[in-house]
Amino acid sequence: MATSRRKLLEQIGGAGASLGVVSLAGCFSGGEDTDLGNREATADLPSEARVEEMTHYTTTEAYWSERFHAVQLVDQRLTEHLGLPVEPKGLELSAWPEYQTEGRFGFWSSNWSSGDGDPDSQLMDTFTTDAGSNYWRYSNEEYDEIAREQRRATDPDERQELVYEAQRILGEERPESQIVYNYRTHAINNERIDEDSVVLNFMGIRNIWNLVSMEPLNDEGRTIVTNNFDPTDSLNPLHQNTVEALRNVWGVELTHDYLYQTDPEMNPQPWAAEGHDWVDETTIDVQLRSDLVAHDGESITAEDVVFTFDLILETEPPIYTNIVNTVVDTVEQRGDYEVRFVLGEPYAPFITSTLGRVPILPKHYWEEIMADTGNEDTPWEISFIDRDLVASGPFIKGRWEQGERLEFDAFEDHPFAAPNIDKRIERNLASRDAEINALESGEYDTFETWFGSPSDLNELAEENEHISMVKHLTDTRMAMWSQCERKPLDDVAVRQAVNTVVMATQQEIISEIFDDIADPAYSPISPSLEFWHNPDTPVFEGGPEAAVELLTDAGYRWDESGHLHLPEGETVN
Amino acid sequence: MINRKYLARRLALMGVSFFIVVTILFFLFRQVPGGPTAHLVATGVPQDVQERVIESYGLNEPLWKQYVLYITNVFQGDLGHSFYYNRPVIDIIGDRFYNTIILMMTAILLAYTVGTYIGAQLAWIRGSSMERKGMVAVLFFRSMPAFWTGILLLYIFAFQLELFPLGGVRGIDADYSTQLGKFLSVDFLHHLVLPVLSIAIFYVGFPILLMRSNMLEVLTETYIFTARAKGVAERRVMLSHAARNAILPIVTALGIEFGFAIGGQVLIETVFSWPGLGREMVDASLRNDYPLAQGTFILLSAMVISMNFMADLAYTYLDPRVELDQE
Repeated sequence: MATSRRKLLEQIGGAGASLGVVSLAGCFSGGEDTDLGNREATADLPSEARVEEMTHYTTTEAYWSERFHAVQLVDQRLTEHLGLPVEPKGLELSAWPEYQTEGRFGFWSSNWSSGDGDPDSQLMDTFTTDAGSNYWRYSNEEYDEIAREQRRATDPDERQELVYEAQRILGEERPESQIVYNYRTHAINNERIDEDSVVLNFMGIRNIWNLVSMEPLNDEGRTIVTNNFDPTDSLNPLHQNTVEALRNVWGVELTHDYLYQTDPEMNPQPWAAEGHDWVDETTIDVQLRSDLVAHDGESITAEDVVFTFDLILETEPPIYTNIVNTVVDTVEQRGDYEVRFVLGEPYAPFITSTLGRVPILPKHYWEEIMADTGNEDTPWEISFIDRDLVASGPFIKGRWEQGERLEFDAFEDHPFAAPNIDKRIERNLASRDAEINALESGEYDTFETWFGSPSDLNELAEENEHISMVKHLTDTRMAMWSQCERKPLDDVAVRQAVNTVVMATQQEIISEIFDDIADPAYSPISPSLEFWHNPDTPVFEGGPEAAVELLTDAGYRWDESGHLHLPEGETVN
Repeated sequence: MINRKYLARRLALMGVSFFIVVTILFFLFRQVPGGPTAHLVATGVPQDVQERVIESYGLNEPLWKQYVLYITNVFQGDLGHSFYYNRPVIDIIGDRFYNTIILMMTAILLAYTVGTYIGAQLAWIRGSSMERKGMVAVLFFRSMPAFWTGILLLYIFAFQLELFPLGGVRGIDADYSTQLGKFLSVDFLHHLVLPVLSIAIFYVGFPILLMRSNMLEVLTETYIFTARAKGVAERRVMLSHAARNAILPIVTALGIEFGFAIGGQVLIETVFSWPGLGREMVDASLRNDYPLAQGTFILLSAMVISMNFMADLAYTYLDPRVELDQE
């Protein structure tokens, strides 16, 4: 057991190098010195049954060192305790799709969040057999049916039962082993911003409720200067990079109104809507507020909402495929401030995942710019770097020097969410150290994103009275997925054994790598989604001994060097 | 002097070199693991939607077709549309080009001006204790990585003494209507000082060493003795007779340095959060943003090729004995 973070990182730093050596040693030596624990060695095992080395991909160490180190540690334990030869490898994000779609991995680690507080995307998009993001190739007919059923269940209690059941199956079959539930950590300058006015939700301080309610304590606090881990590059609300990439989503959320917004308690709350009525399971009438106004003074009415959805239905921006195009059949204006949505089939997450994630686009403005740019069929290609962005949200896009500075001015005429601050400026510094120094010297007022070590922020807050650290449990889990079509990970027993080792390593990861700013994880649905989280999701405990027992019972064997072999009669190819 | 035949041959050679570089770039970037789809296709969308997006970017076409289209566009001055920024490459390069050029040119000119003079002086006082101390200092500066110097300067002058900003090219309130207005502003120059110094301190060693060794060679030439015998003042002998002849390799090095300047100093741009082309080149390559990565490297190649040519031309003016029309 490591005695300190430094020592632990030194250990796992050497793990990658030692893994290769161990593998080679396994090839050439009798392995008399190998500690097999409770594994029983079998002599003369056939080489074709020897489990091949597999790669565990995640982001690079430079991108997020904590995640990279956690993966290293897990892999080290899997090799050490199970004789499962796993090599950790950081991969640039641009290479991810190719490796994922081709299934070129043994394990894959990243973070996954619902993005809106509804469990649907977590259950449907990554685990159902034909899902676009089911890179792990997990397939279970029973699960598919339950996942589809929960999507159709418009009664919350009935749906909760189905969501619980889906988690039970995933817990039992373990295509995914959760490593930790993450917190978002942020920092604020408490001499300029009233700490008590800060509102946290699953996105930390980076949420609209916070930005409109944050109280400045003085003139300096009226302009909030903040960071972004990568410079914003897109503000087009129809472009996939804007809606999907964390560096960009915020710009759209600040500048646009949505019919509903997920509140800090993770419930959908009417925002631009006054309310809604389910006419039947597939028809919903939404009443719009009558006081909404665009940044250029034009009123926002049902016509704009209909225009927005029709534009998405007609032009099919890829990013809205799953929440609009495959869900909504027609949108109809039923008055100045009422819209009727007709769905193709019942879709329980409609309020949260569709109405809560589609920004209202002012018709008069979008018709004009689409005509100007000739992008009537591809509106997502319009760039807003050198163009005003007219919407109706609490902030107005201001000056933008891409890569240097992006400003948002408060929209003082917003009818119900006019911000208390005058301006928010996103300023990009290229390194974590520079960001820390800028916060300390007062050049930054907040860290809206922090991809550095939580302990650095802790330290900073302890050393500087004017800096406070705030943290909030997100609905994000850091997890590792198994390539379920690859031997031996196609065997549930192996995945359960892997989960056992992960569970045994969890506390060490939390205390030594995350400085206790993370929670143990065991279900794909985080406890922050209280209503949907199944606290009884099956999990495999008992440490390495229990993991070896699981494998032994399933017929797996080990050679003298402790290397894992498939059960008798099975070969790797 | 230069004759037309030489000029035509040289320009043709430059064109061929450029064509080869552009071709290599096209195929090289497509050999990098991964592809641009991470920035083109949303995760989790159905396969047919993914294919439609890929098709809209022409990435489903055979490679040779993509190549023909690319070459045709490049020679028409169209560098394409960045996958990542969703903007024309030329606009993105334009924004960052000036930042990098101002940074690098200032640093290189400063380093080469100071370095050439110091190199000549060191050669002139060869054998003295001052020269030995000077050489130790030069080697010390040369062996310090620019980014390390940058971090050190940043820590002392920006963070501890708060005399300079922590990074970027402008203050939080600064707004300029034109690029020229920005570059001539006190605010910009204030941001420029530390990164320029970091680069110049690293670069200065090379012209010092090069000039010194050239001067030592030139000082043994008979025309130096003749000049001294004629009673020409020592300073004039050093500058007009020795340094002028010793400076030719410096011109070549300067030309090449200017050519590569467009690539910026990636680490310095990172340390000082300088929104330049160097960082953009690296980021574009990592993201497999083919159009932008190709565009930045094309610009770099064009600069290196043309600056080499300019250096050759400069030779003829600095040394009348050099004739460029000879085989």
